[in-house]
Amino acid sequence: MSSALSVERLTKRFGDVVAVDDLSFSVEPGQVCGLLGPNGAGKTTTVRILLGLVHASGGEAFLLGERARSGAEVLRRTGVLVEQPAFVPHLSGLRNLEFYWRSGNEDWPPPNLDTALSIAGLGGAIQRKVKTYSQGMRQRLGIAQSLLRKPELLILDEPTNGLDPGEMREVRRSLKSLAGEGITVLISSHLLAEVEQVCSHVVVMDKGRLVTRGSVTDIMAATTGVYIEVDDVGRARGVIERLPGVRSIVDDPPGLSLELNGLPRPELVAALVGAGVGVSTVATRNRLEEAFLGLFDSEAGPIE
Amino acid sequence: MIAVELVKQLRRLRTWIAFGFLVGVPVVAGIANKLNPGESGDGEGPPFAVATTASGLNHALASLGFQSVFFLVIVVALFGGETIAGEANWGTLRYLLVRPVARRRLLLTKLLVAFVFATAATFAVTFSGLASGIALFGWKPLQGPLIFTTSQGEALYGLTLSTIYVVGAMLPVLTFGLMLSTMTDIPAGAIGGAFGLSIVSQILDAITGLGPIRYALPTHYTTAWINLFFPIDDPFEMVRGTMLHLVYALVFLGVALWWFQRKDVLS
Repeated sequence: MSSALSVERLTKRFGDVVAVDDLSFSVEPGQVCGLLGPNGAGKTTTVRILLGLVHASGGEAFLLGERARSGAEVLRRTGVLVEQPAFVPHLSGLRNLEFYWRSGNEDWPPPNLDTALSIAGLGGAIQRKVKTYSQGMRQRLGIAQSLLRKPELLILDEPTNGLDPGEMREVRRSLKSLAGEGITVLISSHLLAEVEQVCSHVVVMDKGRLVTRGSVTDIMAATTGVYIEVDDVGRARGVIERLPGVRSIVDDPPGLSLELNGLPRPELVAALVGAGVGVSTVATRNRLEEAFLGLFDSEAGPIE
Repeated sequence: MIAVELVKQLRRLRTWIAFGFLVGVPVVAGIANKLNPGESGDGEGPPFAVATTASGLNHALASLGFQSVFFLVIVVALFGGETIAGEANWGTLRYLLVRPVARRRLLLTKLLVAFVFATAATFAVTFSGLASGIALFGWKPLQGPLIFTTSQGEALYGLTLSTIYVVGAMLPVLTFGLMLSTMTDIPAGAIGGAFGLSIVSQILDAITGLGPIRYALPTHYTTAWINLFFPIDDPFEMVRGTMLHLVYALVFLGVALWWFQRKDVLS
């Protein structure tokens, strides 16, 4: 079976600036993939190339097996929220959805309108002009717009931006539900906790290049973050600083956060106890955020 | 798609304000001339402005003549310059393109809708001038020196042809605005650029030292329609004008299509 989405040796230059540099990755059908990276990593440019908004300088991109290009028919099978939702401000929310749908030469109403409106949850406000909407309302309307037809592929850029915690939870629940129905989802997000909750896989970019990719479980398992609580933090720090295989030590009251670099955790505990330090807590920090930061820290080299 | 774009423009306040000015200026000018006939400019200016208070038809021609070199140009520049840049400014351009709407189709649809509004705007000027002129100065034949039309019907026919010609004369401004609109995400820049084209062309056209170069300027033949009402040396001026306007429009449209197809949409 071919990938739902793939890029092969993708490159994009804006003058002298290389925004995407020889990038290759794929997302398989049914996966919910997070596209991660710091600001300027090239995530949005990659998404725009996939959608045919930006022309690649080299390489190729494919959506549902078809080459990505401007106006590609495959986009009809793709739901999109790119950067921020955008609407004609002097028209109502519903009229915006209608005009968006009709601009594709398709009859109104679309097949999935009720579900989309239910996800938007705007109630009577759907009849109000969009210029009166809050950021969260626009965001929800944008998600609804991307779901007017049940898509085979959903590409969402910061889907919970501007939403309150309750709305975020609803959107995540909707995304999980869509993923459960077999829809492939690519989410570009800065919210690592969100990606951890929603995504099955991640692609991590930095400076236009691929840093790593894989399942969220595998990437989190590779994390080497450890949190300890001891009866004497100062003494513990002194002991740990003399141990080989420790990349970093950070005060994290009431304990210490460590980044191990080859030192097994039992040996760490043994060394502390042997030095007369009482250890009350040892916890693995296998959060995606730790793994993500670890990836970039390791690129920069050991932290002393 | 065309219906969607038409409704989108019709529901904009700025569209109605623009039409309000186009319709209102001939009415206000007519009332002013009626109240102060001594200061109406009768006997001065271009031929169609002579004896503006003599008949409703005179007033209609004067309205079309004066508006077609300034205010109508602003409105047409507005319709042309807002096409793509307006969508980019709202951020909706990227959503139209991923709907997907093919870039060529989007541009041509936008041009068609802008052309419809430019045509409506030009006829609004004529209609307003004629209606207010008849109400204020009566339904009488054209009057003034050298005018060779004989009846109101003949003058009305000439006025209709003149309006159609002015629509064509607006094409360079409309398509230049469209072209600039593909190059910027700021509608005001594209609108100002399109209006600027007309102003610069009119200034250059006034410099007689430029000789035959003036004949290639996009506004040189804008008022050639007055030849329908006055004896002239060159009966083909309107034909040359129409050809020139079409050439400019095709060149600007060609550049717009070429540019828009290759543009990276970052808005």
